[in-house]
Amino acid sequence: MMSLAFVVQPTLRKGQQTLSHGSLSVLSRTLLATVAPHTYMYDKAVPVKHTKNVHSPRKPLLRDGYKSHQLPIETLSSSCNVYQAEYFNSGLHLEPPDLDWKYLCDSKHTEEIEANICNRKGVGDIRKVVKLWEQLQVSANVDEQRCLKKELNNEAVEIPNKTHPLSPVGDDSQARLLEEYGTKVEFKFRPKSVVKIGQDVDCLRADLVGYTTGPRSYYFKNGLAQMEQALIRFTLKKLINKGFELVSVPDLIHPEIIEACGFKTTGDRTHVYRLEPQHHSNTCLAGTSEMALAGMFVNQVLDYSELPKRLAAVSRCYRAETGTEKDQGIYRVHYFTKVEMFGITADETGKESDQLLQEFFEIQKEICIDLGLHFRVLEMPTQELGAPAYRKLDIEAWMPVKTFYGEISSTSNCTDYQSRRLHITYRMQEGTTKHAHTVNGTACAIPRMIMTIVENNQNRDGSVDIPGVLQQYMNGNRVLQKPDHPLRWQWIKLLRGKQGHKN
Amino acid sequence: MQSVTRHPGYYSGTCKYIKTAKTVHTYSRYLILKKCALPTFRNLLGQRLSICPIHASWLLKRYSTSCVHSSLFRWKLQCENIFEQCTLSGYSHTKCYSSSALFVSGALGTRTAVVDLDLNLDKRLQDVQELQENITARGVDIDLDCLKRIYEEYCQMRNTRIWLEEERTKISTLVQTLRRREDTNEEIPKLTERGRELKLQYQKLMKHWWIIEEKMILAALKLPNDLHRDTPVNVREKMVKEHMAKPNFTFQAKSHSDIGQLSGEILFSPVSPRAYYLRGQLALLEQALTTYVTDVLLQESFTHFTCPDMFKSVVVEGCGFDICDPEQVYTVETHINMQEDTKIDENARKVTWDNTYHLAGVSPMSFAAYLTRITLGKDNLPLKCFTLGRQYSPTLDHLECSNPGLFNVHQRTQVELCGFATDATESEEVFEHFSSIVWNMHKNFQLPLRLSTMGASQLLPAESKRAEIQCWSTSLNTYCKIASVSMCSDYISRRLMMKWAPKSYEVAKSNYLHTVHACALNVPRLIACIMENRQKEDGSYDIPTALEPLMMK
Repeated sequence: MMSLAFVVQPTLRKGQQTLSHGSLSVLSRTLLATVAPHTYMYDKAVPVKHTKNVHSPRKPLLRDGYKSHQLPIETLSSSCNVYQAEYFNSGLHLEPPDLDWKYLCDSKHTEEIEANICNRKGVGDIRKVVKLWEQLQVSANVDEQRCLKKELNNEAVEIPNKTHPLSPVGDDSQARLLEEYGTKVEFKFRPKSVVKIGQDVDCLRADLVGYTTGPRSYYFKNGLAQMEQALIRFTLKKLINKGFELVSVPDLIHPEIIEACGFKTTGDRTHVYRLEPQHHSNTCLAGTSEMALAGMFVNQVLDYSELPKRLAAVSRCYRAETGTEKDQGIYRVHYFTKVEMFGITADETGKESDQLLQEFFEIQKEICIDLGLHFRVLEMPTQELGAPAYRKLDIEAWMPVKTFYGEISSTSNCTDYQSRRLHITYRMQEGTTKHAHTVNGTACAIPRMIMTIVENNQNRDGSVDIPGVLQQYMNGNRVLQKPDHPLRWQWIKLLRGKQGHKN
Repeated sequence: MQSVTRHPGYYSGTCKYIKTAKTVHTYSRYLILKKCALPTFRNLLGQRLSICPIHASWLLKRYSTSCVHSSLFRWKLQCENIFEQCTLSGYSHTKCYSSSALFVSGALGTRTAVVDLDLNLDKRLQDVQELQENITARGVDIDLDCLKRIYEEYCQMRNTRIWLEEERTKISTLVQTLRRREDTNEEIPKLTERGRELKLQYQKLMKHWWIIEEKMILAALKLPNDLHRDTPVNVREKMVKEHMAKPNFTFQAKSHSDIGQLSGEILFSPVSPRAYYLRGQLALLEQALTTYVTDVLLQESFTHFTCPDMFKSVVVEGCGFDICDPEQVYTVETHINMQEDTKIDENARKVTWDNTYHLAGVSPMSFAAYLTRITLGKDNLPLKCFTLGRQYSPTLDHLECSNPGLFNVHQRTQVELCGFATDATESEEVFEHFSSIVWNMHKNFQLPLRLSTMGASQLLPAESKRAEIQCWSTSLNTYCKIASVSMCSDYISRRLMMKWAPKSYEVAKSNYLHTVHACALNVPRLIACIMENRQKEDGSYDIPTALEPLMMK
């Protein structure tokens, strides 16, 4: 590190110039050229380098006394790949993924895998993987081997999960309708949007908050804030009764865990927020508690008798949605509360995770039926699966104002995709270990659920009927209506320019 | 009026001006360019390197799209130190980004302010003695004399400015009326000449004005709130009352981390700095606590809010936090390239305070963001609200313990209260109300508690008084803060234009709201205290009786 220190000297006079203007512009161009490739943090082409100096040395992330079940740190070569050796003295240790090399690299399967990649959005290059694998087999040089291994890992990690035979092939238009519940509400008046109703009954504010909290932010108040709590308690009660274990999870998570769950944290299209890396170590904001729940089992060997594990968590979810649509509503927002289900199963018969998926799915339907929604259930097609999911089922509820079916809940079976990357295994009695399967599902995503309930249950006078199952959590209230003393406020206009005399 | 040495190029327009400044720093730039073909400009700013703000802004303009955001912070810190020298030597730095998000100089055409500040300086700087005592008691470093001097200069300029403006309006109306009469009055050319003269004078004045104004306001924004008469000076805290005695264990008492880790109910995890998972009974306890507190507050007819978690820099600075200090607030990396819309103009692609977000969650900001630039009707006051959610904070308390466990974490579930009142007397009542609610709530958890009024040295800039509810911890061997109530008078509302009017539809003049903030529930700390104070020999612990019916089973 060089240390340069120049202090502005106010006493410098005119004559002390050393360079002309022209040479400055040349220099500035040189500087631009030198700087650009290094500073392109978001550029896809350049993988993000995590080096130790990114992390401020002032703040050790894990202080003494923190017990950790992690393995001791061993030295690995520095690497660009997020899966390899990420320390930051945080104690987080993630080996390269333990992929199914036998399956991936056997040329017998290449065509099958290629077809699968083609059906899902075409990310990953299996031929390259096989080629690298073959090169690695014949390579004799240690350095070359290491290089190849790294490259092989980087390529193989991109290969998506296998696909369930029942998943339809194609884009979202190919989704297969499985079931439909309830009927569309017939309104004898023009239904209002949730934002309008919310403002009328003083329960929601989404206008003029952009100045302070940015676009797509919203405040729930009074009735809707209570409905949020009611929905959480109602859902949790149901899950706990069904034998789920409630876990309180962190929302700030290292990107390695998020990547291992199958979500991209870099690149133009990432939906993952990241804290300022130079000051707050390498930390991202979780987009779903699935990340934290999966991260809880990182590098763990579970006992077969513990499985299947059913976990539930309430957490705040952060999504840097990139769409340009400028809708004011609460359908697509940057942060919201969600109750999530997460399961870990064994892989003995190969059917365990599918069974758990079915179980989660039944719970989701039960919640929607209890809340009196009109919804349909879809078997999602290959292009909608993302990389980790083997099979995905979505529930879409009827939104009477936008007149479409909107996704309110989703459940997917990730089989061993996540567990191979996070090293979650289980041990049988005879001592053999095998990768576990993971399943996740939304139990209740609050804003969308509230939007569905409010828009479908509205009355002509602007009030909203509260679903029966929620009433006991809302002080017995049956309707949301305008409070006696709504908060009255007025926006202040600035006096800039003329205001200069103040202060 | 203190004389300011003006640079010869001072009045010749900003453009030339920057040029001059550039040449002055040519040498330093030359070195920067030469030696720092570095892993970059970024690192360069990471060094304790001082560069002229103009120069920096010049660089910044070119890199702000590709440059990582954090460099901005460092750079801003740098600039602040240099601003003074620059202004004194007469350099215009109006083209730079300011170190403040709240204040936007009128000389900047490109950015618009979110709020009009009203820092009440006329009144506050009248009694410098009291302010000086306040600053000394808090232990902050502010050169009050300097501020006072700039302020006086500013006042003189303000008078001149007002006079000039009035004079110009008079002349122009006179000329207009004369012209309308179509008199061939020989006064007109004289008057227009005079008008032109005044205009020139005005322009000259304004150039200086922007500099002095910015300098004064940046310094004034650092002033802390006035001290409340109850705030003790020279002591750390003053105890008000106590509840229950410290527990006397007949066995070797364990810390909450030992109890929790043995039973597997607390899992400290490396998934992020100081991350923890609560499982089994503890996760249920968290739900029970939030349910309990929510129910109590709804009974006291508080308004329930669910608030955003990210705030623009304006709000964070408005609440008295230093937005440049990474130990006070988390900053989210700006996703510049993520904006796919190509129509967005150049400015929107730059990292500025306006597209910088801070992750804070449940905090005084939650409500400040709601009421920024808002006039409330008097019939809504005093307004008492609460929000339940997650709080994120990089700040760590200084605790004398090698393993603070749940006492020092970065993310937690919390309940925040906020009260708005019309004046000091009413806010006094709100403060008392909040204190008694929070105190009684914690008393029901059957813990050894203490209520203290904190000393001036412990206060945050926005606070004029703070009461803390502290609980005994066997592992820390001391009383530790688990809840607090802060009186902020009109400090925050003056910065963020939070006003009230006798009728909500009236335009408020300068009736600023008085705010009271409180942290009513800090889940991890309270859980730790419950585990430690209510532990049994076998490593289990009792759930407080008030919470038992709320545990979901």
